[in-house]
Order: sequence, then C-alpha cells, then structure tokens
Amino acid sequence: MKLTSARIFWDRLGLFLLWGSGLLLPAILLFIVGCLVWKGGRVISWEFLSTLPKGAVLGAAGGILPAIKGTLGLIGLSMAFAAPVALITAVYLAEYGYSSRADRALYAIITGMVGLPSILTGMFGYAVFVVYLGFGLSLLSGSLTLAIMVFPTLVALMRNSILSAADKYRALGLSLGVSRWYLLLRVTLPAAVPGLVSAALLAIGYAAGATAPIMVTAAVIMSRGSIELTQPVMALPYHLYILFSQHISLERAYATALVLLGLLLVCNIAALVIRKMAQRETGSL
Amino acid sequence: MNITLRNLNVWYSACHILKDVGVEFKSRQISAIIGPSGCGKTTLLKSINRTAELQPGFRRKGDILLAGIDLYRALDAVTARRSIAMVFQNPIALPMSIKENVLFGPRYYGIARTEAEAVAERCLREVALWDEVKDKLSSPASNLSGGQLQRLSIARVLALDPKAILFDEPCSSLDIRSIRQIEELLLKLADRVTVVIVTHNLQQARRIARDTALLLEGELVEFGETEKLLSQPQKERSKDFLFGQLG
Repeated sequence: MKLTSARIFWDRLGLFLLWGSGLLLPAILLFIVGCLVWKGGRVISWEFLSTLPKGAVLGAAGGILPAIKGTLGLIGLSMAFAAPVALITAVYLAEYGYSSRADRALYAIITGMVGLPSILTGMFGYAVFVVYLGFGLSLLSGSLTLAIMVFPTLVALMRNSILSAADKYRALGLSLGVSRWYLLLRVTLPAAVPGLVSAALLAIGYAAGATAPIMVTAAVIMSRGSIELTQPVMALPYHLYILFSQHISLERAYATALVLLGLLLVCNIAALVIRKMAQRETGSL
Repeated sequence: MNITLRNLNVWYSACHILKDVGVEFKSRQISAIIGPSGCGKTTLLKSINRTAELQPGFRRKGDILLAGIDLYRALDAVTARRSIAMVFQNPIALPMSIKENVLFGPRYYGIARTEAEAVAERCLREVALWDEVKDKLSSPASNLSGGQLQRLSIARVLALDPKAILFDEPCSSLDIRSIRQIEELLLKLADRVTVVIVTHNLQQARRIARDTALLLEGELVEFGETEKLLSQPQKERSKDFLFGQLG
C-alpha cells in the first residue's frame, strides 16, 4: 500500500488527537494548581497554618488551624467507620456475591448508591444523627454522614480489586487443597492490597472535599480547634465556601484550597509508599 | 496408586464435555493424554483434581477412583485435591516468597516451625531448583523465569505429598532446555507417584509416557502403549488425527 499524502494527514491528525486528549487532563490540573498558587500562594505561611482565624469578619486575618484539624478529624473518623465495614462487605460480595438473587440485588443497590447526591446524604445525616439520635452538630454526626457517603464507592472499588486478585489465584490456590478462607487470607487479600489502598485514597479525597453533607451535620464558621466527638468542628471545604461566598477574602479562599490540595497530595504520597511496600512484599503487580 | 475412571461424563451447563470416558492410569509410570485443542483434556484433569466443580454449571456422572477409593464420595474436595495434585499449563507465582510458595500447602495442613525449612529444601532439591534459589528464598517468586517458575509449581505440589500428579501441558511455554529438565523430573517422579500428563507434543508422549490416551471431542478413542498407539492406531478417527496432522 502506498503512503499517500492523505494517509499521512489522517495519521498525523489521529496522533495529534490521541496525544492532545491525553495531555488535556494534566493541563487542566496544572492550570488549577497554578491558579491557586498564583492567587493564594502569598498567604501561605507558618502562621496561616498554625493559628486561629482572626479579623473583624472572622477569617479575614489569622490562620486556618482549626479547619485543618477538623478536616483531618472528619476524614480519619469517617474512614475508621466506613473502611472496615466496606472491606467485609466487599469480601462477601467478591467471594459469595453471585450465589443468590438477593446477593446480586445487594450489589446492584450498593453500586446504585455511588451516584447519590451528597446533599441527600447530608439531609439523612441531619435527620438521623443530628436530630433523631441527638448527636447534634458534631464531629461524630459529620463523620458518620461522610462514612455513609463514601461507603458505596469503597465497597464497589474494594470488591473489584478483591475479585481481580481472586480470579487470578482461585483455581491454582484451591487446586492445592486449601480452604477458601486460607486462600483469602494468604493470597487474595494481600494481592489486593494495592487496589484496597487506592480505594481508600479515593474515598479520602471524596470525603475531604465534600461540603454539603458536613454543612448540616458538623461544620461551623468558628471553633477553637478542639477535636471532640460531641463538638462541631471547622473544616477546610466549608471554610473555603464561607470565605468566598461571603466575600471575606478571596485570596485566603485560594490559600485554603491550596492547603486542602496539599493535604490530599500527602495522602496520595502515603498511599503510593504503602502500595510499593505491599508490592515488594508480595511481588504482585 | 492407580487412577480409574468409569463411565465418566462431565457437563458444563448444557455442554457435554466428557462422554463415557473409561480408563486406568497405572501407578508408578507416566500416562499421556493427547488430542486436539478443546477435546476435553484439561477438563478431564480438572475433574480428577476436583477443581472442575468450582466452575458454575459443572455436572458429573460416573466415578473416579484412586486406588479403589471413590474420589467424589469417600473424600471431601480438599483432601482429594491434596491427594491428586495438579500442575497447570501456565505457571503462576503466588504473591509471596519462593519459600512460602513451596510451603503454601503444608502451612495450611499444619507443619512444625522446625520442619518447614527442611520440607522447602527437600522439595526444591527434588525439582533441581535449590542451587538456583537457595540464596534468595525470601525474595518474591514472581522474579523467577518461566522454566524456574514451572519447577517451583512442581515443588509446591510435591510439598503436599500427593499420591498422583496431573500435568496440564507443563512444557508448552518453555524453551528446549527447560523442557528437558521437566521431562527428566517427570520420569524421576514416576518412580513413586502416578503421573498423568496432557501434551500437544506427540514426540514428548513418545519420550516419556508408557501409556497414551487419545481423546477426541470428549470421547476416549484409544488407549494403550504409547508406541503402539502412535504408530499403529486401530481406528479411522485416530489415524485422521495422528497422521492427518503430520501431513
């Protein structure tokens, strides 16, 4: 076949489109980060990270320490609530989940819940935890609400990573005359660790940025930064929302966003390290 | 210990894979199973190893006996799999160290801490892998080459102390040197256990197998001494398969 100029043109165009769409995402990310650094970078200082908000209108001066602590508390607690239950559910769905119609329905419901608008989860959390159970506007109510929000995502992702490990090793493992439990604990779960860590990381990012569910269950404009289960907390996304929706300080809103982003970056790096360690241990990919 | 199949029929859902297979794989020798792709060779091995039943839709009629003991009625699946072990076509490293790969079975059955090292060494020596890996026993098994990994798979199975070992095309992805190593190993193993091997390579069957079974479309067409079956097949269908493919 001859390489006509038309063929060369289409080949070049195809290559350009493939590369272009691949580069688009990093470009957008770079733009966002650049924008935040450009507009809010000057505000970031040790004082900003380590002191309470001040100013005639709160937040106009001073720092965001209570919001950092609050967000860390919300993430940590919600993961502590959601992750163990999600892992057990995922194991059940991966190992037994196709045996009955009820199991399949359960999985369909859980994946269906992934797309539930977070403000609905917030309303549910408000009605159940804040009002009915009487936990009030508090870290506990917010964490439980966030846990419910991330649970379906966690289960779906964890199930997939367990399933792919199970599919790879099930026939071989069981052919060696061991029980399903032994195979699960010695092979499937260790091999699934990188996928499980990714799932947890995604859930952390989701929970850290969620504003709607905590507005009505946990977050306040000002706290002194004490982290107690029964007390409300400040949180980075909510603080950010207040700063720019009330026109308090756009510059400080950008800086707050930058801190939130930095927090997630740290989580990402930690997850990467854990995954590398797990891979070295097991030799799996 | 002989493995006896009596009127074995196997279905996956509506698909009739094995049809009335009756054969006796004798103790302390290698028996080969040959036949075109998709004729049910692997299903036959998996039925004997009792892993075929893990697939949804599996149904069986007829018996499989190990030294007269009914594998499906007298034994539970876990014990049966341990007694008649299976080595798969593509060797897979379990996600753990070389040593733990070998000890995967024994650790489940319970092995004394003091014995573990010795068992691992014995099995690795038996497959002639010890000298190559003795300095990196705790590194991940996935770093091994294809030939090494296949020998590790065999060591992993030997650690179960099985009565019989089934091999599903163990050499299909290996180079000539590794094939020779595996064949020598199989001959050595046949001194004490029953060995059944599925192979696409008629020369391999000639080299190592005393008996050979020819499987066509799920039916056992012929069974007998390898040399006789390969050079003077009795049935037309056998001739078509054996000589047709040689041209």
